Amino acid sequence: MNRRKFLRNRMGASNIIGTIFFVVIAISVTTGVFFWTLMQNFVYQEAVLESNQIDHYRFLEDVEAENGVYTVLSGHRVQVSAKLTNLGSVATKIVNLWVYDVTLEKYGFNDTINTVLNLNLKPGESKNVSAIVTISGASNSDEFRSWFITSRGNAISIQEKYELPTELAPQIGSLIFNFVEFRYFTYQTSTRLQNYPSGTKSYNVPSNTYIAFGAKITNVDPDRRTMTIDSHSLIWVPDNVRAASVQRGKLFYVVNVDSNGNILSTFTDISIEYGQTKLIVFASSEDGSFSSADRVKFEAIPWSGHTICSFILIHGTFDSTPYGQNIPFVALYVE
Amino acid sequence: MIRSKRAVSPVISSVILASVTITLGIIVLVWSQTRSTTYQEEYGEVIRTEVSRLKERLTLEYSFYNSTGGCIKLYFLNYGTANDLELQTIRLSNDTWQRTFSSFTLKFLNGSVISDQDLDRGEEGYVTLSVSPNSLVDGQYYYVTVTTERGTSFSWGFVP
Repeated sequence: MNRRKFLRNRMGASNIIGTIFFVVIAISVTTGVFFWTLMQNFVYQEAVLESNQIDHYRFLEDVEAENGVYTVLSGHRVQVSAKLTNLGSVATKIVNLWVYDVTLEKYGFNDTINTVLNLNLKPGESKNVSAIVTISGASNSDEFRSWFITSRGNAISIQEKYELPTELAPQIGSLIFNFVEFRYFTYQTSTRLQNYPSGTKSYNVPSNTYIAFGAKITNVDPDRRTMTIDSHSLIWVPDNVRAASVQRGKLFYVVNVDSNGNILSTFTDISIEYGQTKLIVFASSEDGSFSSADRVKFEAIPWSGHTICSFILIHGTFDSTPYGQNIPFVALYVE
Repeated sequence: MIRSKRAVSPVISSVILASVTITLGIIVLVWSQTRSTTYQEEYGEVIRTEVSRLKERLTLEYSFYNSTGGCIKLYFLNYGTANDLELQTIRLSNDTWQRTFSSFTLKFLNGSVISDQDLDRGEEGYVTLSVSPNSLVDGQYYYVTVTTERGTSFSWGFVP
């Protein structure tokens, strides 16, 4: 009965409908704005998170650049070689290489290294890099500093491989010898070395057997010049076995060896660029040539059972300037 | 019904009231819509600017002071995730001196002028600033502070 009355009564219905209508509109408008504002705040929070991540990843970036070697090529092009190791837990992209010539107070950069060399490093990955930066007037004797820039804005200084103090280099020489890598070879044939280039890393050498020596020599010239080793280089083993007698001892002159271990009959000068390490073989009793008759051995009598001293005598030129160096401290025991 | 005058005035008044109510309602609705739209635009713009500002990162790759010419070159890299990083001012200072530059030309590392005068993501560029008649003292520690158009400040130290 009441329901029928209400439905028949037209008074007040429009007000209710209108009110509901406007309330619905008001709610929909405010709800829309509310949710839109929430969305904007969410976007902002995302940006804050991303911003923090940028900084976080930047701090996690840890790249080491070592074994830096500078070589000035023609046209004042400074070649920078280094080993890059990603020690961090995030991937790294190198975007630029800066080189500062301390001597000239000039600088240069190479911002195409990533494009050319694809310098992207995974965590734990190492890469050898060689890049060129042009600095007008640069020369090998200049002092250089350099650093890489990562895409996260970090700078990585390159540690130079050979940093001989300028006051020390003139005293110990421009060539260094690796004692650990010293080796000797026996002969497979009369002119071919056995197990070349590995040889036998030992300071105990056999007697009554023809042998040759291998020494790894590195050019660490402070002026970054190229060393040319000539035929007058040798390993000299003085005869200290027979007391009170002046003996020549044994001479092992430098030789050229091909990749199969064959010793070439005539010697051609050997070049070692700055920073480069080469295995130099000493085998011949003759200066500048080699044949089977020139092989050298320590006879059991009188050498066997004695410790003997030997000298690596390097002779040649540094950019056409004569140079000689005696690398002492090598002792051998003849078995 | 047409001849009957008894119900006319309530009807008219009801129509008038309803019209006024509806009109006012529509006006309020339109006004609130406009206000909310304006609010959304303004707030959205603020959020967009803030978000871009948060993503801005700039590093000074290298600075080189040429004492002969009295010029300093500053090399920058945008390593953030925001594009269009515009340098608004660059301030050079130390403990006793400061100078602010607002007019400079941003160039790519190859020397060509950057047309939009901003650094996009991953882009490198440099500016040359003339500090004459002042000069930077060799060995002293200076600061360079860059303020971007979005209002972010970056600061680094350098020794000429």
